[in-house]
Amino acid sequence: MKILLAEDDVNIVQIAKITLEKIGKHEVTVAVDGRICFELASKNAYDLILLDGMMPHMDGVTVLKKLKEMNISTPIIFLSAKSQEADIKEVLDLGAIGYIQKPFEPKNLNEQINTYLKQRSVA
Amino acid sequence: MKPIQLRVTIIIGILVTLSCIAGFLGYKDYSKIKKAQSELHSILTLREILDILPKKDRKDSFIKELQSYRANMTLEQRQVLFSDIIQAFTANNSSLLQKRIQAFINYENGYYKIVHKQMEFYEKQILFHSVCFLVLFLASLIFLKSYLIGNVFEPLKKTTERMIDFLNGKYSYYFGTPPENEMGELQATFNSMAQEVLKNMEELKALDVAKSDFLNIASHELRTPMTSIKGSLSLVTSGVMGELDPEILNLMKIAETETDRLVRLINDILDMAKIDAKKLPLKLNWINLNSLIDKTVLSLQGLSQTFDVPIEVKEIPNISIHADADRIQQVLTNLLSNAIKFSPVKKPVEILVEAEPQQAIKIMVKDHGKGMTPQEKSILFQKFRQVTSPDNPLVKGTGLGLAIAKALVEEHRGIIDVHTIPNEGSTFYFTLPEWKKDNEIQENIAA
Repeated sequence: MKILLAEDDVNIVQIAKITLEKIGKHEVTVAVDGRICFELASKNAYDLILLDGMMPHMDGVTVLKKLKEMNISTPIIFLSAKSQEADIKEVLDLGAIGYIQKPFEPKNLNEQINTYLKQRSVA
Repeated sequence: MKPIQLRVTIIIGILVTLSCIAGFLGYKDYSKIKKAQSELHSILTLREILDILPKKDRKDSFIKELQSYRANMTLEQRQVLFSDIIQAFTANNSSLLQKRIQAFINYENGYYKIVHKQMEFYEKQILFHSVCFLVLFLASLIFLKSYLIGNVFEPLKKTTERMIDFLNGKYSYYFGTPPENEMGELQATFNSMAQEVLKNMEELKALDVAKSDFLNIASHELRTPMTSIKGSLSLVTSGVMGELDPEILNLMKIAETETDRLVRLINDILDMAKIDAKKLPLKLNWINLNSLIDKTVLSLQGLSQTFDVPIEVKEIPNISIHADADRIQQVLTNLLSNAIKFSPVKKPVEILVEAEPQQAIKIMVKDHGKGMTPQEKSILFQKFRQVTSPDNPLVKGTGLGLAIAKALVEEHRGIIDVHTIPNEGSTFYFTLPEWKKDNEIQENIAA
């Protein structure tokens, strides 16, 4: 599965990349800020986008809105440290298929992704 | 003096002055009438005396009496005529006396008429004065009343209405330009007070936003590094990165466990901060108590096995509670994990429910631990306070669990407390006011 990972924290990028590649056997492309993520997502086809909430140049919510405006149907899962109900509701209302709370457990990351994708295919 | 007070004082002053003048004039009119009446009376008395005068004895005392009548007369003409009568009487000249009496009576008839007319005039005058004063008096009273209504009672009513509106949250409090009197002062004071309140409210709102922002930033800034630390350790200990020397693996596992504890602490602190800042809205739903308890017990299987303390769920009635499922699970988890940590091995922790009609439902977590002393009990629900357990080094917590549980239960309008008997154990319980038997809910929905 081709995954676009948008995350500005280099440490988290490394951990998530190892987890997704070594455990999940996925192919991971990294975008280090919101603008790059948006450009990559609008030009290339991915099976999944993992989107961080707080990023330089363009935040996660804006990227999500712009991609949805362009009718890009790639499923998007939010990856955020914010835990307020209102924040979670906002991104789900905007069309994200899931919300993974930081700090995430590498062991569970792949499982959570699979669960959200399965839920989506059922729906 | 203040404007309204001054005006009311002036009007009352006018009323008092009018009353005094009316009283004075009334007294004067009355005395005039009285005088005219006595004059008429004296005229009649005199006539009676004159009728019998020709037959009277000429005693000195009687002559003196006649002279005293003469002295009381105010008109010179009358005095002269009466003197003539006395002279004729003293001289015992009866024909002259008859003539002079006749002349006096002729004069007296005219005088009688004049005095009578005067009396009628006074009577009319007293009536006129009464009517005039009555009209002035009533006019002043009506003016006073309308002045008070227009300048005191109506503005007072309006002010009260505005204040009630303000109290009810309608902040269109403003009184335009208040009039320059006492009511105006009241309204202006209320204006400034309302402005002050609104200003404070704005400041509080801004503070609230700042608090909320801080919570978000703190969440992000604390959780991002934790994600990296936890993720790295987890990848290393899970063996994905290759096999490790057992000693190194052991150290890594310690680091991982302690990181988990730190994450829990951060979550607890942020939860507490959110509860304090009222940023934790409850998602209230009807949830089945049985399934909530089952879910909670299942999530604590690991802890239960680690400490070798079983969880026993006693018979739970089939009811639903109106509550935030996640938050009540959090409360139950905190109570259960505490009970497990403080229980001796193999002594079960029990969950019991008491559901009496018309009363809040009571959910209890009973352990067979050492119980608590009153001192220990008193610090139980305070933030960052922990009952230490020298025998059990595994007991590690944030010291926030029960404080959070208390706050969450109170958000649900319930109470949380503990019954404890030293060396026998403790029963923690919390209540929830809104619950129903499950079939009742179905009936309600059907209706």
